[in-house]
Amino acid sequence: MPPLLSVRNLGLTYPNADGGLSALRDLTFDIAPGEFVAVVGPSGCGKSSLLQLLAGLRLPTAGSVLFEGEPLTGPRRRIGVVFQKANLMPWRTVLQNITLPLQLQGLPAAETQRRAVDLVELVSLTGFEHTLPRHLSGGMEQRVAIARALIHRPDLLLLDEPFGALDALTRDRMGLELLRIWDRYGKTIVMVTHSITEAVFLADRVLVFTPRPGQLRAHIPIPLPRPRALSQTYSPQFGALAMQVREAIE
Amino acid sequence: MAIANPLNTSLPAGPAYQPRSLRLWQALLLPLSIGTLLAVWQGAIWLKQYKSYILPSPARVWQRLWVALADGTLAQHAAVTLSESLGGLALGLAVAAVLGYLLAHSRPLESLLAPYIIASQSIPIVAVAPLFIIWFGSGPAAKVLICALIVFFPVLINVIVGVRSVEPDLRDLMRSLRSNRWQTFAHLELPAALPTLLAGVKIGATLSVIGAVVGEFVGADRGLGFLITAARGQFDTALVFVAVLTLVVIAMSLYGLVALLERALLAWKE
Ligand SMILES: Nc1ncnc2c1ncn2[C@@H]1O[C@H](COP(=O)(O)OP(=O)(O)OP(=O)(O)O)[C@@H](O)[C@H]1O
Ligand SMILES: [Mg+2]
Repeated sequence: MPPLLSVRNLGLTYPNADGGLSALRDLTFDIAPGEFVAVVGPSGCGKSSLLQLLAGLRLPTAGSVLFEGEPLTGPRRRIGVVFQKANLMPWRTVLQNITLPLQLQGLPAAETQRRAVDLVELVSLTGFEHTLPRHLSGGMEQRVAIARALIHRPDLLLLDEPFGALDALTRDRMGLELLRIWDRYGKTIVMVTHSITEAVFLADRVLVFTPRPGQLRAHIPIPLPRPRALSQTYSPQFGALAMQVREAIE
Repeated sequence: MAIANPLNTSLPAGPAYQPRSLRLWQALLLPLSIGTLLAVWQGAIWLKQYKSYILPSPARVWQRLWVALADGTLAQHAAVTLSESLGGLALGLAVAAVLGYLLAHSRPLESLLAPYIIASQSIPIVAVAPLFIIWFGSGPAAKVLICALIVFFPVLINVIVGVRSVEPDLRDLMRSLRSNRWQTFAHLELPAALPTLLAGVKIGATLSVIGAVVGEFVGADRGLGFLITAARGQFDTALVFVAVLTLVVIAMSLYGLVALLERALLAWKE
């Protein structure tokens, strides 16, 4: 199968006073359709920057990002983004936040409503449709953000530490929910995380980055059987893979 | 609520959590303070035996109010001032909102216009009011323009601050959803900037009344400002009081109206 996303000699330099700050350097990798890829690396190595490039929100200063073989020159509706913060509009209710992408596309209200109701159920927020974000917990906010990113059915979902602000228990639960959603939608996911356990638990493949300027240090395939369950995290195979990722980072 | 938080500064001053006795106190505070004011006023007259053209008694002002209401002069002049204020508020608001939006999006435009805008604020409005009368005549047009000028600045600043304060992450979200300029305005910038905008309008509403009166002082044959000048000429000080109190009522009503609008539009903030 041809890759959904191809990254070729990708580099990004932010302009600054002393000749530019190199955030990413010479990245080359492919992502196949339906794959779940986790990106890990030390803080400040350029993971968020990479996601912005993959989303078309920022343009590379070297190399290119190809989406289905075509250079990515701007944001696309087929690419959904979940930001590190839930990023909800405080004046919109849960349902109104979720339907925002379809409202912008001008889809008929009936279809919008139908999909929104499905998604509310998928992310277990039934009963909170008309709640304002300030009455939600952090985990609920993130689930709204995920539902919003799914409603226009993007083929590629980019997640930037979506569970970073959550406690360990909620985080585990959200991870499982994400896997369930991924399973049902069968879309491609690239997720940045700083949790090695989370990366190994969720992904088919873990990309490990070097400190800034971010370069690819290792590709680690995760051959753990699916569907995954939290009990797997205690298996020796899981421990060995996590160790492998940790050693690659250090 | 109106008494617990009269300036409507939307602090979380939830009277719901206050003990009943405190709420009762707050409800009594305004009548008490007005009563005290009236007592001091009347006391001064008894003590010092002021002539009524120097300081008319509360009763006399009250009587004069009824006369002015009965013969229609008050309503007629108040209507003129109110319509000038509203016209000026609308004009100033419209120009400031559009220009503020453009300035918020363009640093070059801002650095070009900022010196003029700030300079315009350093000129007292009373100093330029005569010019407006010379240029636009002694009709309502000049007053509307004076009001608009005085309303312009606070609204402009608030629009710029409001639009600039939109979270960059929400802008990225809108970009990732391929929202066009209009959609970004309608679904993100407008609702995000609305609280700041309305705060500016609240200030502008009261300033607008001042603008109208300043214009009427300088040259007019109607309006509350004119009524004050005319009453003073006839040593009808009680009527001056009546006109001033009417101005206060108009300014407070405009302020209250915006506060109501605020409460309706910003229910999500409560
Ligand atoms: N808009 C920007 N302008 C200039 N420099 C930036 C910008 N965004 C990020 N950087 C710099 O680029 C480098 C990489 O930042 P980035 O946010 O991509 O890192 P990260 O891997 O996501 O870090 P973290 O794990 O802490 O979120 C950092 O040194 C940062 O200071
Ligand atoms: Mg980051």
